[in-house]
Amino acid sequence: MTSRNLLCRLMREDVKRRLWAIAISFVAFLFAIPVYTATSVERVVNMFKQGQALGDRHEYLSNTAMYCLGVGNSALVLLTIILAILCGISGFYYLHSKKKVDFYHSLPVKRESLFSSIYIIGIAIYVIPYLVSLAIGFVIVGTNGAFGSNVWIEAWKAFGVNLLNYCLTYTVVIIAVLLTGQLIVSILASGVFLAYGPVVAVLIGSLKDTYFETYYEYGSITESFLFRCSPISAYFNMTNAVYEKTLSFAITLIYIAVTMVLVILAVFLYRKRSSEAAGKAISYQVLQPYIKIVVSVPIGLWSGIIFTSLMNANSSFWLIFGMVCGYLLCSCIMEIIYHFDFKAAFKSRGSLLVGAVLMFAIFSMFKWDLLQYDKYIPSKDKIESMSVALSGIDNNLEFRVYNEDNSRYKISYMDRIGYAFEYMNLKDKDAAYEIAKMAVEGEAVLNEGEIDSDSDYDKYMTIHVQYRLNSGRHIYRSYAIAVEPYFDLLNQLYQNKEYKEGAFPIYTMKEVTNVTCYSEFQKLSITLTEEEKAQLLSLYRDELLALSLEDVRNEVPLATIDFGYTTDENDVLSYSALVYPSFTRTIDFLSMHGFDFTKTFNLADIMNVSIDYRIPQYAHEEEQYIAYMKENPEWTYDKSVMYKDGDTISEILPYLFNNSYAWNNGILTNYDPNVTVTVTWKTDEYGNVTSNQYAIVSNNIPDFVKEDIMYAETSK
Amino acid sequence: MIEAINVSKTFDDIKAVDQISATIKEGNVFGLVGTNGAGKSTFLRMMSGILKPDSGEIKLDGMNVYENIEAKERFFYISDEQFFFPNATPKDMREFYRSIYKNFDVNRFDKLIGQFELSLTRKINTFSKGMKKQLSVICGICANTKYLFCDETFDGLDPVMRQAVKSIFAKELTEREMTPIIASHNLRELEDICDHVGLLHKGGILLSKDLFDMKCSIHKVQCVFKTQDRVEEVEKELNLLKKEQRGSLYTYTARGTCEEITAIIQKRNPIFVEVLPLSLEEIFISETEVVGYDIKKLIM
Repeated sequence: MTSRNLLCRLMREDVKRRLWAIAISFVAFLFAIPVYTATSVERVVNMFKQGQALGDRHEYLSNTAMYCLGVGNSALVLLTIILAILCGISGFYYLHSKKKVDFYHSLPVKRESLFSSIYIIGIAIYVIPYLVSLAIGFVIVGTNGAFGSNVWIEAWKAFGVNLLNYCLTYTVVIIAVLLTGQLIVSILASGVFLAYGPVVAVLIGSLKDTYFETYYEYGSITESFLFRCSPISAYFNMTNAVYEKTLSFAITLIYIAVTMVLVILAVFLYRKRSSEAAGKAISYQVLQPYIKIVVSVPIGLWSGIIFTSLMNANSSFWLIFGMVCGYLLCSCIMEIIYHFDFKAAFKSRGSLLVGAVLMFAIFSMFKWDLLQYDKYIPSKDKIESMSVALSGIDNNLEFRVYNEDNSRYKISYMDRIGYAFEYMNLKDKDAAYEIAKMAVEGEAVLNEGEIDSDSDYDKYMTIHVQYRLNSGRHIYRSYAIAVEPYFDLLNQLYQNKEYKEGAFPIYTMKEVTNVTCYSEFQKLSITLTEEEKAQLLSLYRDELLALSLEDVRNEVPLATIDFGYTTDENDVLSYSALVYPSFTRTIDFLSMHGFDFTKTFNLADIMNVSIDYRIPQYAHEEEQYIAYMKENPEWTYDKSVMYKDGDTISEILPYLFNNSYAWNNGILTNYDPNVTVTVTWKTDEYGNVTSNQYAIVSNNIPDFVKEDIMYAETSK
Repeated sequence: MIEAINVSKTFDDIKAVDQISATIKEGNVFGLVGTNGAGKSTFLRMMSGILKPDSGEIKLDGMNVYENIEAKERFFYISDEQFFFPNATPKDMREFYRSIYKNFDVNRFDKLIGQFELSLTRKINTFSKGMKKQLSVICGICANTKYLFCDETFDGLDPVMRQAVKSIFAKELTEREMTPIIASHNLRELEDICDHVGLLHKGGILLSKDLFDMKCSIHKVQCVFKTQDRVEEVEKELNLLKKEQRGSLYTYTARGTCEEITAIIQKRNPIFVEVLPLSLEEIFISETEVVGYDIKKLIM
């Protein structure tokens, strides 16, 4: 009998043994591909029939088909993971039975042949139903006129990605089965292998977040590597990359190489696995203490974190208590599983001690920052460039980018920090570096638990820094700093051209298709020629470059320009740009095109102005407030005044400005968020009443108002 | 020939087999007896290449067995609880073994299935324990391997079937030089079939002897003498293993050939002398009692 015939024979027997798995696979694939495709395509066809959809019917249908047969079909991803676990365990589960091991290992068959036959069948259980379902899917797509080369390519691309990730997960599960000798332990081991990386990555992130003042989670290499250590998260990463069309050939090769290495490891373990391992918890006894330590230490650390959050007890004592309990519990359970004996819970005291020491060493490393994470700042000469995102300034900005992404333009939505880290490239890094250095040295920084009162938050801002080193490494930190001691440096940074270009998305705008300008008193769509639009954009950009933090602190914006761009796909991209009084050329340009910057409140139209004051917490103990609260128990901590007299109102109106402008630079603008001014206009001809809320600069609050609202002078 | 040289195997802290050395010649039926936990199955599993000895080596026709396909092709192992594929029929197992063992005799398989009144197409999981044993023996016989390792194979077979299996073994032994190695906790089961018996106890081998030699070298005689001094003379001269006395009737179990023993007795002119047949059990009792073991507690 040739070895090929023998292999076929073994495979045939394995097929008979695993008919149930084949049936499950066929049924599941049938629902995941043909049924799903048929229902999705039918829905689109009906939409066109009923006139609910417009546009290119074929394109719509083929997009639907691409989604159903491609990587967008999340049911396929789920099915791939489930089948990989099912086939991995069912294929090699026989190794856990002494009876079956005696049978297979007494046969004159090479272990490699046995492994190959089972391994190949495991792959076939996935591949054959997938291909059959895919073929049916193609027929469904074809008969509905949705077929095209893009559908074909997308389907095979998804097949390749799913198959590769199936092999990866399947092999990892097989390794888990080979390392264990009991079904339950195999399932637990599979769970550990599939989730260990992300669990440890999240744990490290959580510990850094808890104990490091300057930690900012943004693509840490160690943590993202740990995330990719799990076949499942690696799978999601890969499908996302395919979907986003960012998957590189090199990454695919790495996946293939890792899978092959794991297959070789599985064959090695299979060959070396002794028959007497059947029925034992761990097949390689030598690994038992290491596995216990590797599993128990993160579980111990996690327990500490979970325990403190559940108990709402934020002290180190309770964290250590939770850690010790979790660690001991996990270690003992593992020993009980190893020996199938409750009395063996504390059997391996050596490994118990080593694990405990390791756990406390890791905890200490974070708790007392033994590696000086918070104190670390790269030396200036090693930094190629920096990015800085300032919080509390320019809060109204929206970070939308219209980018070419694999030959397809699309709008990406980002946050302030992500945008700065991607688009800001401070070569002139003196100010930014000096700010970071001062923060690292602890000068006027805000640490956890150091807040004196609610108003302290207004005096501090968080800056997120990215250091791009010459070595290619990126380091991320965040510092909570007091504004005033850093103001000059911040101002210097703010006036840096590279900062502005990396902080304001308007500098990524290539073209303007429409311009709208609005203020409290006017909204105007401005008709401009292409040259004028470009001229306005250029004017604005130039004046924005010259804007300093000093200007921002002292000036209140007069209006907002919406620079709009309508894409070929009819997506509208717009950037709101504030017009400060110092933007004289922009103001002139807009004035020339009909926008009236002189418009203001018309006293004759105003019915009343009411001022609401939320008495700040720090003033609650003052005598006047105690007396007020006693007299007005229903208005505790709030004081409201309404003015109807025109003269009085006219003394208030000049100092009012739009709430959103106040919010935009809240940390710099000298306004008190506890004071809210509501202007109510007279009833119009239709009987409607309009009200608007405004902010007022603290220094400009008239004295009579301060007196009426019992304004606390110590505020801000 | 199978040679085990100082073979030891430990499971965790339990020594299952301790320094066993044995030689199994071709064409012999080797019986491996011992109590539960004596190490019979472990020894057989090591001979089958399922387990790797911790120390020592097992050679089958000069080849190491563990992970050696060539060696494994020369034997068929029937475990005490033979595995059959789920939902398989005897026909399925026949086809499987046919693809594994080059000389698998399909016709013989079908014939024996008929002889044992088993069905080729009935699912094995509906078979009784005895029927499964019969099927495993049939598979083993038809594999046509040189050696057949049987672990407690007769356990669960009714006397008729046991006899039938034994007769098949006998036939195989005469037709082709098959060498069965049969492990059993029951000495009586092996008595009429084994040529050579190895007695295992607590992982070690107590004795390993050829049955014919044992039967020829130990005899049991009953005799009555006229005077007590003749009794003492005979007892001095005989290589005595055991002595029983009921009145004037003496029963001796002694080493030596039948002729040697009767000659010693006849010289003292006995009133009555008779050589009694000695069962394998009695031989073992005598042999092991000499080395300080109570065999009855071990294997009966």
